[in-house]
Amino acid sequence: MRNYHDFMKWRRLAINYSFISGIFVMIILYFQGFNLGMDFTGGLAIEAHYNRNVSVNEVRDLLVKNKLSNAQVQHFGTSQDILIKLPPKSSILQEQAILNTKLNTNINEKILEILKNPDITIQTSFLGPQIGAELLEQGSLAIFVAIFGIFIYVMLRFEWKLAVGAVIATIHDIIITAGMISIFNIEFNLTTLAAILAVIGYSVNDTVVVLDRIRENFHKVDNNYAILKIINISINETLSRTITTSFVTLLSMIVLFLFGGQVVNNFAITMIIGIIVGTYSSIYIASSVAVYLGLCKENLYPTN
Amino acid sequence: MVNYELFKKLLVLVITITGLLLAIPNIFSEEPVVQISIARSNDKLEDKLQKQVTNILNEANFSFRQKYKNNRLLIYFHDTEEQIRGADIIKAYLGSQYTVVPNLVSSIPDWLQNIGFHAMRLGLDLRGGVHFLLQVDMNTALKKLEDSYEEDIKIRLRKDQIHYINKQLISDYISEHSYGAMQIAFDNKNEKDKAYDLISKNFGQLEIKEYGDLELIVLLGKRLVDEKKKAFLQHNITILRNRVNEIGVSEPIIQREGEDRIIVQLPGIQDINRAKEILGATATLEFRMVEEDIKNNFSKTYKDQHGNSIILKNSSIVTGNSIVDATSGIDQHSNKPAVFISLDDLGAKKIEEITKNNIGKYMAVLFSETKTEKIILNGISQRNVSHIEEIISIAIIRDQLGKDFQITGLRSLREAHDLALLLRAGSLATPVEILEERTVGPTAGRVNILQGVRVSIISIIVVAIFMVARYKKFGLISVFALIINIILLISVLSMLQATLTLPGIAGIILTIGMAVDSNVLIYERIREELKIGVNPNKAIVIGFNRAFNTILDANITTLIAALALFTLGTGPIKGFAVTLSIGIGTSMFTSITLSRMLVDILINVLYSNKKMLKISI
Repeated sequence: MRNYHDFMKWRRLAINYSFISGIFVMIILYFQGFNLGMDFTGGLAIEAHYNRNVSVNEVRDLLVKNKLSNAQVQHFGTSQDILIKLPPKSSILQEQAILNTKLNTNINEKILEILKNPDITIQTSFLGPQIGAELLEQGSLAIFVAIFGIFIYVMLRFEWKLAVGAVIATIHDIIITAGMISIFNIEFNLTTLAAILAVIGYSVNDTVVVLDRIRENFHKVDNNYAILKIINISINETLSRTITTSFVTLLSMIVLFLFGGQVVNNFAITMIIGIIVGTYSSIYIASSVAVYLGLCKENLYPTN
Repeated sequence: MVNYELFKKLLVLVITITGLLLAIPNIFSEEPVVQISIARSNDKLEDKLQKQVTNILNEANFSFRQKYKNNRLLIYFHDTEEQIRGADIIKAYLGSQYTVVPNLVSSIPDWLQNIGFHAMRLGLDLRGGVHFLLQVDMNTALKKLEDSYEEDIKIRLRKDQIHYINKQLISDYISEHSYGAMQIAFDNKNEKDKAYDLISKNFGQLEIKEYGDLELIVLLGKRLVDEKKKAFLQHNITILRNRVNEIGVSEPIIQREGEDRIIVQLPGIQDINRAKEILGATATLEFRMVEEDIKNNFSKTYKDQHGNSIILKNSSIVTGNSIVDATSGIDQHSNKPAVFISLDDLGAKKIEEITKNNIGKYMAVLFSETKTEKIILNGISQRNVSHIEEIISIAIIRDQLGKDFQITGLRSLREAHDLALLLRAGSLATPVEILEERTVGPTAGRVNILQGVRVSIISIIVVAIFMVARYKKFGLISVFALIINIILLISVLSMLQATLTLPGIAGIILTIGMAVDSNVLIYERIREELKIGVNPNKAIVIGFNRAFNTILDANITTLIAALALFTLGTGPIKGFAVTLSIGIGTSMFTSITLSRMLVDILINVLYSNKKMLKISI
C-alpha cells in the first residue's frame, strides 16, 4: 500500500501526550475557569447601535457618571455598535424583574436617557440569575446524556471495547476543547455549549467511520491476524476520507467565523478547535484504547 | 425489477419536487402594515372611513397601498419607519373607537396559504419582538388562600361555640409549609375532637394534624395545592392571552413552561414598554357602600384622590369578576374621562337590589392594585408586596342602577383606557416575575436574516469549489444534491412550522459541512475500489452500498448529540437542535438516494453507448 503510515507505532506516545495535555488543561481550568457569558450568570446586556463611530470610553464615562460604574462596555462588531453588560447584582436590575413598570422606570428608557442620543437603537437581553444556574445544570446534563447515548449505541452496533474507546476519545475532545476555550478566554455562553455538543457529535461521527472500517477489515482475516496491523490498515484506508471531510467542515466553519457575525462567533471558533482535536482523537485515541483493552476478532465476530 | 427501479426513481422525483414547492412560500417577505378595525368588534368599517384615512395619509405624502379584508382595513407601508409614523397619524385622527395596530404581515398570496403552504416561522432574533419567561408566584397566592380558609374556620368554630386560641406557628412548620398553616389550641380534649370533626367535615380538602393533646394544626392538603397551582397557572395564561390580544400582535406565543412558568413571545412588537405595562398590571375595581355607622369596627378607612379619608363597608357589592365589558371614553355630562361598564346577570341583580334599597346614600368605587417591589435588605433580595387602594369615585345613588352604568373620577383618558382594558381582560391570579427578557429591534432582525443568508451562500460556494476540484463531475453532483438538501430542509421546517433562529442558521451551515461527508464517504470508497481494479460500474455499486452502513452509524451518533441539545434552553438553541436534526435527516436522503439517482443518470448520459472503462473521480 503506498503511503502507508504506521500510526499505531506512535500510539503509546500519543496516549501519553493526550494524558499529559488532559491533566495540564484540567489544571488550567481549575485556576482560570471560564469566561462565563450572560446566559449562565444572568444579568443584562444591551446592544446599542449608533449612527456614527463611537468610542468605548465615551460610553463608559456616561455610564459611570450615572452611577453604573460596574458596567462592562465594549465594541460589538463595528465601531458603531456598543455592547453594555450589567452583572446580575446591580441594583438597577432588581427593578427589571418586575413586570409592572408603572412605578419603576424601565431599564431601556433609563439607558437611553443615559446615553443621551435619540438616534441610537438598542436591544436588551435580561436573564435572572436562577435561569443562568439552571441552564448550566441543564447543559452539563445534556453533555452526559449525549455521551451515555453514544456509548450505548456504539456498544450495540460494535462492541463494548470499541465503545469505551469512543467514549474516552469523546471525553478527551471535550476536555481539550474546553481547555482551549478557557486559555483563549472565549466567552462561554449557550452557543458555545451548543458547539461543544456539535463537536461531540462530529467527533463520534469521525470515530465511527474508522471503527466501521476496522470491523470490516477484521471480517476479512483470521483470528490471529495482528491487531495493530489491521487497525493501521483501517486508519490508512479511511485517511483520505477523514482529511477531506474535516477539511470541508473546517472550511464552512471558517466561513461562519469570518462572515457570521458576533452572535455565532464563538460557535465557529469552538467548532474549529473541536474538529481539529476530534480528528486526532478519532485516529489515535479510540483504537489505542480498544487495543489496550485487548481487542481481537472474537469480540466483533463471536464464533458460536 | 425494472418496475421497482422506475418506481423508486419516481418516488424520489416526487419527494424532491414536493419539497421544492413547499419551500417556495419562504421567498415572500413580510410587509409592515397598519391594521384598522372598530375597537373590540367585528363590524364592517364604514366606506367613508377608508376614504378619510387615505386622504390624511395622502396629505402627509405617504406612499402606501390598501386592502380591505375580514372587516379590517390594512394599509401597507414601505418600511417600518413610515409604518410607525403612519400609525401615529391615523391613531391621532381616529381616536379610541378604532383599534389601530402596527403589524408585520406575510405577503404570501391567499390562495397559497389556503392550501397549507406556509413560510418558516422566524425566531425573535430574526424578526424583532420581545420574549419573556415569567414565573408565577405561587406562594403569595397560596398564602392568601390559606388566610381565607383560616377566616372561614374561625367563623365556623365561633358559630358552633367551640372556644379556641389561635397560636403562633412553631418554626418547624413554617419552613416546611411556606404558605402558612394554622395552629389552634383548645381547652380540653373534647373540644379538640369536636373541632377536628367539624373541620374535617366542612373543609375536606384541608389536612389536619394533631399536635399534642390539645392542639390541632391545619394546612392546605397536597392535592388541593397541586390543583390550585394548576388553576393559578391556567388562569394567568388565559389572562395574559386576553391582554396580548388587546395589544394586537400577530402570532403571539403564550404557553406554559414547567410547573410554574409561562413563556410569552410577542413578535414584531414595536412599543415594548407599553407591552410590559399591559401584561403586568394587577389592578381591579370594587363597588362598596360608604359606611354610615362609625362604630362599626369591621369597616376600614380609605383615601380618595383628594386625600380625604372615607370609611367604606367591608363587603363589596360587585367586584371586577362581574364585569362583562368595559370601554373608555368621555362622559357626556361632565366631559371627563369615564369607563363604561356592563355587568353580568348576577352582578346586575346585586347592584339593582342594593341601589333600590339605598337611594340617597353614597356608593364608592374602590381601585386596588398590587405592587411587587424587590428591595435589598442586608444583602438579601426580598420581595415586598404592597397593596394600593384608592377611592376613585363616590356618587349618590339617585335611582336604581342596572346592568350598564359608568364611572368617572379617572385622571386621564389614558388611565380610563388602561382600566377598561384591565377590567375586560381580568386580573392576574398571582404576582408574576420576569425571569428572562429579550428584545430585538425589527431592523436588527432583518440584518440578522441577511447576514444568515449571506453566510449560507458563501459556505455553499466554498464547499462547491472544493468538491468539484476534488471529485470533478461527481463533485458537481454532490453540490447539486447539497442545494436540494438545503431546500428540502427549509421545506420541512416550513411544513412543521418549526422556528428558525440565528443559531439555527449556524446549524444549517454545519449541515452543509456534514452532508458533504456522506458523499465523500461514497466517493472515496469508489476510488478505493477502482484502485484495486474493480470495473467502474461495479465500483459505483459497491461504493454506495458499503458506505451506507457507515453513513447510517455516523449520522445517528450526531443525531444523538443534537437530541441531547434539544432539551436545553428556550428558544435560540432549540432552533439549532431542530435544524441540525432535520438537516441530518434530509442529508441522508439527498446523499444516498438522490445522489445515487443522479450518478446513474450521469453514467447513462456519458457512457450510454461506449463501454465504461474508466471514470474520473
